[in-house]
Amino acid sequence: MSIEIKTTEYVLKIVCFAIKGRLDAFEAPALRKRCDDFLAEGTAHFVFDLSEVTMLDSAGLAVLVSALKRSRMASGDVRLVWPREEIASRILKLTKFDQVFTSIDSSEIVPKGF
Amino acid sequence: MNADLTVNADFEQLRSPADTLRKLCNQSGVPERIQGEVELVLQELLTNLVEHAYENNPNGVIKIHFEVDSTNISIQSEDAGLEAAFNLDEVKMPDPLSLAEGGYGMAIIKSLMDDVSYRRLNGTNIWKLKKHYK
Repeated sequence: MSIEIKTTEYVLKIVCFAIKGRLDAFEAPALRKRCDDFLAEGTAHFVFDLSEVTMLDSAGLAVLVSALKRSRMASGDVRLVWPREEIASRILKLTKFDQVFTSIDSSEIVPKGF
Repeated sequence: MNADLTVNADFEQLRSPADTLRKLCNQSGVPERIQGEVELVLQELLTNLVEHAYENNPNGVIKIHFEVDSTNISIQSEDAGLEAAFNLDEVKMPDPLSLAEGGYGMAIIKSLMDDVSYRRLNGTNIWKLKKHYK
């Protein structure tokens, strides 16, 4: 009698947003809209590559937090590539979100981060 | 070094005050880390005024006054929007685990500046922020 092998294939979709420039109150709505569109179509895993973000304010942070909250509700998660600019990473430390978000070194190794 | 400028309550216009503040800081030899902090503070203050004082009405006018010298950076704003609806003394940074999407702006300002004051005078909101950096 041969063994029974049940094979299930999982395909994980991860969307990566690489952001360049200021992620502030003026620019944040555009990122929120893009993220909302992917969430609406069922994507639940996101990477925000902030390495080239030059300034991050609380409006930009709110988009990241919203994405984290909603992706977790959909059994997904969010990873951040840390900003290189101190002014951009300052707010993550001040608000202690550096202890909430999981960071990865580079968006090029995204699949290993999940 | 001082500078005065007036902007409308429109997010697109909020970059010009940041540019002016950076220029003053550079001229006074303010360390880059401090420049970054006060730029973030300015951004948070103006965003707060656009969203809450003027409720995103771009016709609202915000007057800004900067004073930067070798030891202090002062930012003052005046607007004719709605009165601030919170007690500054009670502002605290939200718990990050609550994943709140707002309430960070004023807490960031308080944590980065040495003096933060607010008063309402004859229909005008006056914010005064000061940082001692040396």
